[in-house]
Amino acid sequence: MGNPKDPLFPDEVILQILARLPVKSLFRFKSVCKAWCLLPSDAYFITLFNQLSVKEQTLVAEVSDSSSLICVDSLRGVSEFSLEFLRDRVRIRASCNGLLCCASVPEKGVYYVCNPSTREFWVLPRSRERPVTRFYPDGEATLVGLACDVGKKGFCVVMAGYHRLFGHRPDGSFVCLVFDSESNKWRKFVSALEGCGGFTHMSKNQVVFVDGKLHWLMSGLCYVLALDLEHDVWRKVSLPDEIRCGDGGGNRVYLLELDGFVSVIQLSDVWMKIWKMRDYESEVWCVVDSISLRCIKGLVPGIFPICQTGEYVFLATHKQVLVYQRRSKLWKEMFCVKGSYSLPLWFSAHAFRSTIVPCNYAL
Amino acid sequence: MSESNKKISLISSEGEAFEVSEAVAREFEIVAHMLEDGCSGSSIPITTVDSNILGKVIEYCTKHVEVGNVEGNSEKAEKDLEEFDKRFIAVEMNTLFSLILAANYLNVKGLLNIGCQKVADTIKDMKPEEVRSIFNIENDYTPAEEEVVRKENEWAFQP
Repeated sequence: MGNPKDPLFPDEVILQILARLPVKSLFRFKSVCKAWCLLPSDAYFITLFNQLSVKEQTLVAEVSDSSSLICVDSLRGVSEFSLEFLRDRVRIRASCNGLLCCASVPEKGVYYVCNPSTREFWVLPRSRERPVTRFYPDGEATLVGLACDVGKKGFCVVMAGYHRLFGHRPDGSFVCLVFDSESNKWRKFVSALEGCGGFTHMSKNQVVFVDGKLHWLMSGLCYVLALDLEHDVWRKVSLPDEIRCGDGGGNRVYLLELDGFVSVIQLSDVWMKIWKMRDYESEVWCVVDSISLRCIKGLVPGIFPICQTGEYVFLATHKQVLVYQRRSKLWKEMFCVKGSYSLPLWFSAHAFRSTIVPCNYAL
Repeated sequence: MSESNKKISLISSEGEAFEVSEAVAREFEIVAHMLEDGCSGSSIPITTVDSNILGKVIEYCTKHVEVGNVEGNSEKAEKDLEEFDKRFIAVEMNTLFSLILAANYLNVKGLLNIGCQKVADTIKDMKPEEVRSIFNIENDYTPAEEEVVRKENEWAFQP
């Protein structure tokens, strides 16, 4: 680092150490010296840091009224999570590799993409088209997705839904708007896509970005709907036969990511099965774990898997956040809401990773 | 490996010889490269690492080679190794730093990993001044510049 004192470590070791810090410490240590100050915006360091930090998975959820958020970490426990730097009342709509896409509550049609770890944010320009406000009477697109690759620059926001005029049934054309941070512009394409009407709240919330494609689970449990962002093409990906045939009647299914793979978690009254799509092109699924729910029997009807890694699974209930450690086969309550009425935690729970992926691309 | 019985001597900075199997020596990527480049000598001088630290690095590599060779029950072995790593790296600061420098020089990736993680965990709640003095880094800011950077990142100083 070119100073007269003899530094303890060579630069490459310093980078390896700093890449393992929490983001907050990294920003505090900008005050150490000029070289350290520049690191969080250095392309090589950003990649190194993100490759290490994406392995961790945390859960973010709203507690009580949308004003306060918590972040639950499997190692460090619960911490406060703030989006106050946006200076707006917002609702999280999608999460991907450290970035969040948030919708303004008071101002319809205003969307932010932010990195809560670095407090950077970007206000999306309003689309010149009006369809975002016409998808649905309540003014929100049916599907909102966020895509960002830790190895590449930039992000995409996707909003999609059937076009329908107020008071009319959808006319069968599926409208998709894609915002690309590289151009800072929206593009629109319309596809004829039948039978995509049904999305539950959870299937809208659980958007998975893998392999350049965004995925949503159809509530009919027939398939996963995938959007290829490179070619603007929708595709239907089949679920495992065991799920699709619906023979285990009453099973619930959720779409999650598992260490870079598309995964679904299937819940019955007594067990939880984790599936992983091992081969994307030929749609080959396999069961990676089958977990007994005996220990949490009373909670089963109200648990929702939110996010996972190969080591643990986060689940939310009405008032609790649970973690299941796959290797030790242990369940643990990580958080419990105190006090009376609030929205269910699972309703607002999202997967989150703390990275330093940039989102502020001042043109 | 057919040559797994072959022994290699690693010589510390004090000139002390440590005899290890070739498999263990190959955990040191720098040694592996020397062997591949046709360095056939059976003793290799590691001039920048002292006996105490070299002994520890060898202990680490030996354990990892042993566990890597056991087949079957990988889950238990993995857990075991994790426990070993945790105990191994729970040393005082100066030893930890020497281990990291040695791991970096000898290119032992696993050890470098756990060492750097341990340092990161240790310093993560410290003040910039403390980090400067631990790493022996000179403050190249003027007081005014430092104040600006601190202000910009005020949130990172709050508990």
